[in-house]
Amino acid sequence: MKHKKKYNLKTIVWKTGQFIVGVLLFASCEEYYTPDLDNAESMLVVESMLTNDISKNFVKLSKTKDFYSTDPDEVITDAKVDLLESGSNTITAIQEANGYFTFSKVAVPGKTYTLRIYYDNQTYESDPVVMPAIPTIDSLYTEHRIDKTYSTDAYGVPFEVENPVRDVRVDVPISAQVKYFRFTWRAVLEWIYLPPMNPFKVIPPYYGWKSKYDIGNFNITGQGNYTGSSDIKNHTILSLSYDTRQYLDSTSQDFYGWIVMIDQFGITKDSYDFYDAIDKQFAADGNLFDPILAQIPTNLYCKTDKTKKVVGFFNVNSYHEHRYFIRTGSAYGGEVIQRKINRYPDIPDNGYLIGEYPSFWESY
Amino acid sequence: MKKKYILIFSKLLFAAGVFMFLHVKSNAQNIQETLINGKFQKTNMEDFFKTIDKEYNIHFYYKQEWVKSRLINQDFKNTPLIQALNLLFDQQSLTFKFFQNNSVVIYPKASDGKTLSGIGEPSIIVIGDPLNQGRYNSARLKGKIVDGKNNEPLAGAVVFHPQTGIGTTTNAFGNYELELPTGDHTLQISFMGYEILSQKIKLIESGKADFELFEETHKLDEITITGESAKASKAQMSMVKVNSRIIKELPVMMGEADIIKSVVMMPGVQSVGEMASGFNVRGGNTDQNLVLMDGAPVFNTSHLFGFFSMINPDAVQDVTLFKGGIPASYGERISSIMEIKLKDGNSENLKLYGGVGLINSRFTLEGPLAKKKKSTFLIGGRTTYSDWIMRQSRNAQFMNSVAHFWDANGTLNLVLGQNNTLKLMGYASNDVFNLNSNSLYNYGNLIGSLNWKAGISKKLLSNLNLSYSKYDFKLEQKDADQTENDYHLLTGLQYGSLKYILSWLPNEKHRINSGFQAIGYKILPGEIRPAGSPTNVITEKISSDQSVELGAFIDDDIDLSESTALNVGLRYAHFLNLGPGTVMKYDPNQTISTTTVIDSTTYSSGEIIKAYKGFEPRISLKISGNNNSSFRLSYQRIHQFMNQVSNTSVMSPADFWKSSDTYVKPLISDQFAVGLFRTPRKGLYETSVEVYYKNLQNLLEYKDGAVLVMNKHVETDIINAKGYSYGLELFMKKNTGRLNGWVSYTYSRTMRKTDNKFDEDIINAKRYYPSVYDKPHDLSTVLNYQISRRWRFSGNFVLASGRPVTLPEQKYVFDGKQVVYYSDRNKYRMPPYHRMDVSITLDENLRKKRMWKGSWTFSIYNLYGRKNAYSIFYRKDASIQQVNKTTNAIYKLSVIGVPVPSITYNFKF
Repeated sequence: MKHKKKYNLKTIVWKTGQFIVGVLLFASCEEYYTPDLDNAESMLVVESMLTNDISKNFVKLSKTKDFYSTDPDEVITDAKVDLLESGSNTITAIQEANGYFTFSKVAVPGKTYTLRIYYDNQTYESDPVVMPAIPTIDSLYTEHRIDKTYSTDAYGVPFEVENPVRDVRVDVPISAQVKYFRFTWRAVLEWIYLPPMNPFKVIPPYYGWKSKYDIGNFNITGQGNYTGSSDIKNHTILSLSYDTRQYLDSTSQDFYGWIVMIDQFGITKDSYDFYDAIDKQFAADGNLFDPILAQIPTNLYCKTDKTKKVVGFFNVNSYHEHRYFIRTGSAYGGEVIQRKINRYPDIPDNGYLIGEYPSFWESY
Repeated sequence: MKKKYILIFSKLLFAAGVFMFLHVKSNAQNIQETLINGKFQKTNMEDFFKTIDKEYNIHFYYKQEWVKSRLINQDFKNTPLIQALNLLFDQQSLTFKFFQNNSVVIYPKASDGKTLSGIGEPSIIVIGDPLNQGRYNSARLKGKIVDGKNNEPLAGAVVFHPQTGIGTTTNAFGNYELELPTGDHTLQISFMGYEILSQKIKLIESGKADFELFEETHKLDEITITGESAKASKAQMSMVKVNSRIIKELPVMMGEADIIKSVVMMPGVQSVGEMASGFNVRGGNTDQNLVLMDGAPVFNTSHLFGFFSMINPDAVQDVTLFKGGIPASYGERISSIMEIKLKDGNSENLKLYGGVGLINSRFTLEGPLAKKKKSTFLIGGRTTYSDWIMRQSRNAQFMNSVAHFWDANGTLNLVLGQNNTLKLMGYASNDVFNLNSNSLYNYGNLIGSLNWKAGISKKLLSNLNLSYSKYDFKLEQKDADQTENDYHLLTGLQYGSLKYILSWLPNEKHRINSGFQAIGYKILPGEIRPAGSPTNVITEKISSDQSVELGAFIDDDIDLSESTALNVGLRYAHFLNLGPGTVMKYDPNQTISTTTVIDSTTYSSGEIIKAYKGFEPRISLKISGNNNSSFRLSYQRIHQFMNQVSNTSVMSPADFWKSSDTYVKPLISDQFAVGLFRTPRKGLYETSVEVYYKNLQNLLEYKDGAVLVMNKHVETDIINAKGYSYGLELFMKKNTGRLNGWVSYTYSRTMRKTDNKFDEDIINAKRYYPSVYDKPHDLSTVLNYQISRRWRFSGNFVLASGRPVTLPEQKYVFDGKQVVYYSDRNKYRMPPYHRMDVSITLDENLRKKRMWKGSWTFSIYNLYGRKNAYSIFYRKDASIQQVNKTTNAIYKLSVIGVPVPSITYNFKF
């Protein structure tokens, strides 16, 4: 027997009111926009980092391209790159690959560095940058959280999606020598596969691993606005879902634990503003009261021709790697394990060994 | 009371009939001479009319209740109709008029010195004792002109004697006085927005005659008023006046009449788009408009991020916007002055009216303070229940959001004497909203004013205005994970003003206004307070900014000849930025920044930190031509010492105000305008063409990535710019008829240029670039159609150029992420904006004497669901996962991309 749905005036008014409030507040819609854009003269792009870890020192030179261009990036090979250290000699970078330069020297906290590039009969130079002190972490811990995201149904109506996760958070001390930080991370999932029992043959277990990388925006933090706190608390580095099946390739693989590798950079205020500007560019949503669009700041300029523009940044960062072993438990409880790892072996992206633990394997 | 209704009805009837009557006057002889026959003993008058109608095909128009109890006892034999009617109505309280060639209008006779209003030739008023006829050569006529609806005096109404060219205007109390030769005259009494009254008088000796005028809107088929206001000079141009009725007739979102959205339909007035508070006049910024509510400034003019204006439309008498030719008594802002006059309150009856909408409601109560007293009051308020609706929703995004507002207003109009009134006004509002975020916006206005008008003598009028305005903004920033870092950001300002105007009317050819104004500002640029305990937040406050603005002005409205009117004025502006405060001294060889400070100076409380002064000449000229046309021109210079600091395209409630100081120089605007105005076909149409040019000095621009909030040295992020605006404004309106409305088109440009010494202070390589408000083409069309006596249709259509926008032109990869490099500022333009709104209204039943009267309005905003661009932006990916969305793209955001219906019930009691 069919029941007719009753709509009275009250219901209609009610629904209409909700619709209007929804329109007012959230029914904005986005769509692609492909305006005709002028072709502009390409500019030098400088991506560079100088740290106290020689493996993380580099300068990459390339050129900008038109917004709609699908051409590969144009790298610069005919440039000369020098590093000027205060009170020391000039160090010339070595071009290891097309447009990729490295230095044979690490930077020292407290010293001032300047980058100089000779290219296309022009001289480009950075502002002098003082390297911050080596950063540390006071403590690392995990917190249960319900991650709420919004999706839309076939009719474009937003609905909420809940995903329970465990945040990995840190407390970071601030000092006069280092107030701003940037984090990158890599989480290596350890898994075990136990083959089916065979009464005639001993089949050893598989010990495998798989990496999850930081692909989000730049993870930066610093002394909070208007706070006088001597440390940064509760800063989230990454979130690990309890549902590890989504990371594994097979249902027969069993989650064992995470090795979380955190790269902590002590950065300057200018570097912080640079990364923050890029994050804001990525996160723009054209909403109420968004600031007028601004160029990403740079600390580089052309010394010989002021009309020549250059983009990018010369980052002089102090660096510290941290490793932790973490088991997240489950969304409904279970034991949570986190402990610091004091060894730093290289870990390939993914793989497995049969019958033996990899050398970097961590047990709980 | 009954008589009043009769009068009103007769006026309506007259308005409908007499126009035609006048046009067929020459042919009316035939009907008047029609010979009638018949015996009409003890015959009902209505039956007599029916008989004549049937036998001679002569139609009678009357109100049944006037004639139903009247009997006639008269026989006619070959009697001319005019003679018959004279016999019938000789001793009756009714009279008659012929019109067309076959009709007669019956209506009540005027029974006292007051006239029947309307178009036509009502009865003659005799002033003086007939026995004295011929005794005097001239006589002095005085009296009062009032609004026939509520008996409120009409200040600035014109009493004109066309034969001699003698005329005068009423003073602030509606009183007039003029000397005329004795004899028969026809006076024309007019006031903007009211029906012109042509009144015959027989002037025997000096005496008194009061007149009532009625709003044009009393006629069913008329809608709008624009033109000169009571305070406007005869030479005034570039002025828009909108009365409460037109505000209410425009179809708008949520069915809520809206002052600002009405004004935006006029030429030269634009808006950034949906969700934009305020308006832009002739390319000016929003903060360049001075919005005055009964003389007190309003610093935030919108509710709910721009969807509603902050003023209850029911409380508004009228709105006048000066775009140019601004009188010398006004200063402070360079683009426009919007004067909102709130109603005084009904002096006759207690009235309650308001409206119930889907997300908000409003009410207004007005009436006399006591019986037989002229003093009146009005109180009103609005509130929204959108929060409650959202909380009932199952949608978490709705539930986590807050959006509500309320406002309350009141006026008290005390009549202290015949020429002495005191009006008090108060207003308060509050807005709270967040959109599913950690930031709760909370802001409000508190406004009050006192207006004391007094007639010192017949030729001297005194007008004192005291006003106070306070705007407070609070941002509550919360983070559930780091509550110790929660804080409140507070900004705001306080404004107090004393303004005195003395008007002197030495003769009919001059009206001189002089006066002074003293304004005090106290600005709180920013303060941070902890939101809870324990906290890491350190209380921080940017020193408040104190200043005083003084002004003195004089202008003369001169009738140079019958066809030429001139208004000449001069205002002197003096601004003082006062201590306490500390002013940084920067290295003159480098751009101003926190790293180039070389010294500082500290000033004690009340000490002058910086002073600015300047003269502001104003001139307007009107030369009237034939065919109801006039040529007008004007020039004005204005200084603006207060700026709203904002680096967003749309003004935010968080944007704080900044007064001129050592580094922020006052804005200076010089505007020239010329125009041609015509009102062809006896005012049926109104047309105008205006051209203007504005030169702008000391505009504020901002450095790339400027951080303005809680910036102790905001001057380090400000760039000095100059600019110009020019435009052509075309306007054509049909004032009357069942189909009426207007079309306005504006072509305008607004350009900026930074011509500074240091690279950091230069935008677009010192080239001129369009301001964010530069929308060259702007077409607005408003149409109203009276379908029937109660059903009314309204529609409007707007088409405008997209506003300038900065877009990514190049891209590069940094740390594996695609970053973009933007074009020169405002190099590109958004797609054109267009939108159509419609509404249909079922008006109250005018005929029935109901205590409760209601009307329904159903409207659709954005009828065809145009997805107009609100913003264009680049981003990495979408926050809401949707099919076909990829990363790294340019997106267009439309705020209202669908038709939005609404229904509102308005009531009167």
